[in-house]
Amino acid sequence: MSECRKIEKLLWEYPHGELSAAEKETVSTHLDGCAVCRRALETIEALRESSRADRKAISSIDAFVFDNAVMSKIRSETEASAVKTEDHGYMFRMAVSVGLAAAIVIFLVFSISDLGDLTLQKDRGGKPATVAEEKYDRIDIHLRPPESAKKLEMAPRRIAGKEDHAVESFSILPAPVTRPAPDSVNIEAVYLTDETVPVLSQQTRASLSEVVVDTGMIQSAETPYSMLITVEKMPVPVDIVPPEYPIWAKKRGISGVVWVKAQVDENGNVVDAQILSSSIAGVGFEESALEAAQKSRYTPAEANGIRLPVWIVYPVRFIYITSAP
Amino acid sequence: MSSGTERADGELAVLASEGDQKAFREILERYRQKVLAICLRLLRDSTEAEEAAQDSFVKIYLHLKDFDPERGLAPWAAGITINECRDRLRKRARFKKRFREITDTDIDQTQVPVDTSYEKKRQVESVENAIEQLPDKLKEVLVLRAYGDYSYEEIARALKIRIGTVMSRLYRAREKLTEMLDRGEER
Repeated sequence: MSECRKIEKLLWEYPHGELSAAEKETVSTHLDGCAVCRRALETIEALRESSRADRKAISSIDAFVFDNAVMSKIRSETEASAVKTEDHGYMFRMAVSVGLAAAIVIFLVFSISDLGDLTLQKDRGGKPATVAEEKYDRIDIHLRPPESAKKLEMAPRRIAGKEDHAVESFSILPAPVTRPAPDSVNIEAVYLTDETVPVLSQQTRASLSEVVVDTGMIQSAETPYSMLITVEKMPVPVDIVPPEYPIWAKKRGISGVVWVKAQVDENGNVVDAQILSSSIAGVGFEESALEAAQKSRYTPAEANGIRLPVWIVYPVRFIYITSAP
Repeated sequence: MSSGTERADGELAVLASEGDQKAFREILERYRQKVLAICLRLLRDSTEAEEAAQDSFVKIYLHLKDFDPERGLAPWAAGITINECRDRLRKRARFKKRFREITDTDIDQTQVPVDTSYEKKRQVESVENAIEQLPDKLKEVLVLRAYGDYSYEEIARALKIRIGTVMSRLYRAREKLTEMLDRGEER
């Protein structure tokens, strides 16, 4: 039996492996006289066959895709650990300000019902909260998509000096995608406009078709606005930095939409940006959209003539268009 | 594996731990196949295997600083991969308890080349099913040897066990497989 155990190690190499002639000889003589080891070799052969099949399955995995997925996971992992260290302070500030806001609401609700006469209070049937609700329950502001936006022609726009290459860019709006004949690769910039928005750099114009103000999130420790503020003027883009079309996505012709939530402060600068959702993860749309979001500038939001920070939400569409030159 | 590549591995690891992406991509290139082979055989699900392999490489990257060159990059990477698979299998077992009916059918059978004869195909299938019946300790050693193409020494370093233990586990694993196959044929 111990002879078989010794042979076993050689069997794993036999007959393909790097066995010396003498070792091969030993194995084959042993196999001639040992049915058990012959059977063992059969099992090993079956394992080899199975391993070959596995390797074939593995070779169908795109190495490029695999490696990039790894790199992007590493990036998000390292970023996440960097953010974590700051997070506690932020969470604390958030908790404090949310608590403060809640206290103000409760205080207001009670003071309003206190001031109101007794009969009125009775009529409300002990539901004084409705006062606050009626007045302040609209926390979403939706701007209608501008009429002119629909009429805007999506003429291919070329960036000087890049005529013979793919033009890459993005759209910040829901936009009809024109798809010319798929001949050469051309990623088209699609910007929409709206009458109120000034013309931006590079002859591109931008607007926000839909702005959602999450007033529950407005406050921060530095700017203790409560949720009772009605925003009158929403931020208007002054300088929208177009996100870069990730090389990897461009190579594969991948399109996608990323919803960005950005905090615009009193000076119109973006101080925080987050990804709300992404139609396709891992190709770099999120990173690209965030990077661009943080560089963009707006006019600050206003209420009663006071500038205030708000969150805005907008989609960034990476549209891959192939077209004839 | 010659000492030449081992040394190069060590250098790569140092470079990569200092943030050299090229070096890390080289590591990926070298061990992608092996890591995927381990994950595919242990998890028996190509999608999850790919994910597990990716996560293993993330862990390899994040722990490059703790890498001990004495142990060798290949065995060290294999150790991390095995741990990742163990975690996933544990999670799966927990999940399976709750959703017994889904998981069994969900695990896709690994592809077998079309050109093999029926007999061969049948044998491959039964050996793969037999691997599933092995206790984890034996299974891991067998998978490293047969699918990852690791040497006895590398397996010993990957699992932090003695080389004698590797030999006996591999022997027992193979023996059990043969037994199971024989039983299957009798039936």
